[in-house]
Amino acid sequence: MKYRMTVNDQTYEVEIIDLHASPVLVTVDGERFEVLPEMVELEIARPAPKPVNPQPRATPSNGGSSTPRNPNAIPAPIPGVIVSIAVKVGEVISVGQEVCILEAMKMKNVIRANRAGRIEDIKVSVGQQVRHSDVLMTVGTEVAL
Amino acid sequence: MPRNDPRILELRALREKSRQGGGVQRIEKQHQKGKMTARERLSLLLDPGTFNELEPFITHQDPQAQSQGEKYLGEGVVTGYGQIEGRTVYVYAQDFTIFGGTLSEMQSHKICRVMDLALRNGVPIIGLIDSGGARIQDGVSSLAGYAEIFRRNAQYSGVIPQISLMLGPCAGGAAYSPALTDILIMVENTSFMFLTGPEVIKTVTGEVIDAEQLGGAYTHTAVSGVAHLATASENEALAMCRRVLSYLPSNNVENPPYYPPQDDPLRMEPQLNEIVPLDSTTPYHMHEVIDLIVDERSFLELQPHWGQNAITGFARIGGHSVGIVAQEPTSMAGVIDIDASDKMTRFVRMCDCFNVPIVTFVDSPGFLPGVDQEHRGIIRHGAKLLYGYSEATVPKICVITRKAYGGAYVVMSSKYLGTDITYAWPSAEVAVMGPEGAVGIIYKGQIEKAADPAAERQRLLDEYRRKWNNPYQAAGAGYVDDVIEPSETRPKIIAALAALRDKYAPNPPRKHGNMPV
Repeated sequence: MKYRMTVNDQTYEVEIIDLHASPVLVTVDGERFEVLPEMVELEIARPAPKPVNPQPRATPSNGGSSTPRNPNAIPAPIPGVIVSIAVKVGEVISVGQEVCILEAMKMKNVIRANRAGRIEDIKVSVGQQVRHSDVLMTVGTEVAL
Repeated sequence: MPRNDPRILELRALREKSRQGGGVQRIEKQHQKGKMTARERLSLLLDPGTFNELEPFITHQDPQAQSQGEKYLGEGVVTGYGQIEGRTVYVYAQDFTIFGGTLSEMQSHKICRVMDLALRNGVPIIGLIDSGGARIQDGVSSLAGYAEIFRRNAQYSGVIPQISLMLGPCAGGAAYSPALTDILIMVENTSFMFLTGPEVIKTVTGEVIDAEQLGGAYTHTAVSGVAHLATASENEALAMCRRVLSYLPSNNVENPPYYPPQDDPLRMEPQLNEIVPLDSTTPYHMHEVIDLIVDERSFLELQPHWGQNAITGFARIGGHSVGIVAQEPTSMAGVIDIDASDKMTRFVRMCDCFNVPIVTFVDSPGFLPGVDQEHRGIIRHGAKLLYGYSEATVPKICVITRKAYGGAYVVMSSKYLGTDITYAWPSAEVAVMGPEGAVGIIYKGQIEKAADPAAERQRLLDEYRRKWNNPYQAAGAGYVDDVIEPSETRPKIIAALAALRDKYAPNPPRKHGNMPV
């Protein structure tokens, strides 16, 4: 069986030699792939041939949120209002150091650094409303402390 | 019988062969990885000299496989019984030196056999897991083997404590067995659990991740919430298992063991009177509150890095096991979100299964607001929490330390859900909602019409706080049994536990409930 498939404006020639074999042999633009049966269903359900060089995607997020996380960012753990900021851009901070206070749920939540490094950017100001996992500030590469 | 009876010599030789598992070389390899063999682990887990092995001569029953030369006694798992602190437990330990501990049909028979014996005798079953997965050569028989184990995990759940120690890989469907058990302990940089491994994930979704990040001890105790405890070494994991069992009875009709307390049951703790700041928006550490109240150093926190806004764990108060459930104001204000609901519910239900009274410390400001939480079903998850508390028939004691607002209070062991004794500290704020929200709704018109709306709002806020930010309205309505000084919390809880010891409050007969999951 031969298929022509277009994904992101790129057209692929896909040939499935025997759908009932295990593994199923598939050629995409002349390159051979072995596909396991349970994956075949997936491939058929979404008519997308496997990209030849799959791009690495999301690294695991750290706290149940589905948004991929920037490892340099200090995110808001909870929606609320910034009531004070304890650090300045360029300041070197250590893990666990207070960086700002976020008032949420009738509580002044102390936000602490999740990594050591130099404050690169502070993206919020006092009085600003932030949403869950908004980036509060970014911390540069770790420095020896 | 002559001294060198060949039959005795043969038995000795076979026993020795069985003890060698996959042979000296593979044992050496296991040691090089910094891992112990199944038998070494069991000897550390159990009281010295108490282990009795069962079925060491079991071999693969397929004649074809047998004729292929390699034949190992025991089929890659060591099973039997022994004692922990003098109490009988059944154990199985997968032996990585035999076919990588992979699960064959006969291995599953051995595991199921000790599970059945544990059930019949009403004692815990402990699994030490170190396995490459299904023995592919066994085909569907090994799948059937897994299913037999899972079914027993599910059916015996809530009858005998089931504990899993993850001491190596556990990939694919095999991960379901430990996930079904009551307590799952992992070892850092040694154990991994996932349904689909890094390779499959890479092929299907293109995501690149290593085994440790995907399903290592940190991931499952801090991100996914699959495991309860992580330790730095195998030795500590085995010791941890012994400790966990000290809080649990051997089965669902026994009471948990009693350890005569070293700590004074009447100990007053003046420090507690100063722990809750006067400013109601300044956080304090609930962990400190717990440590000051329970028997000294008896608190064993479960899942300390996952859903940190909620606290769950075992402790002893006056020598008796209790389950502690609490909220941590320093972490996300102690709100209830999806993870916190799941964490607390599972723990409440485990305590109820095994007759462990539940002591809840409430500082509940609300549910985590946000589209993400609502769309992921916080309603369904929060509902579990109140389901768990309502269903629990063990003694339930609740101490309101500060915030107890609205629905987020109702689900946290409120008196309305059948809590036996509810105490409040004078710092308690029991109300439908916080002052800001409430005043904005109730007095919207009045504030708008006022000559100075800001001043009027402030006046009403102060009035609301005076009226509601205290425990006396709730106490007046009978929703709080007593308002106590924080310093007297320990003796008050000990007295309550004694008064509730013979509590009998069964639920109406039913097959089982239908908890939202």
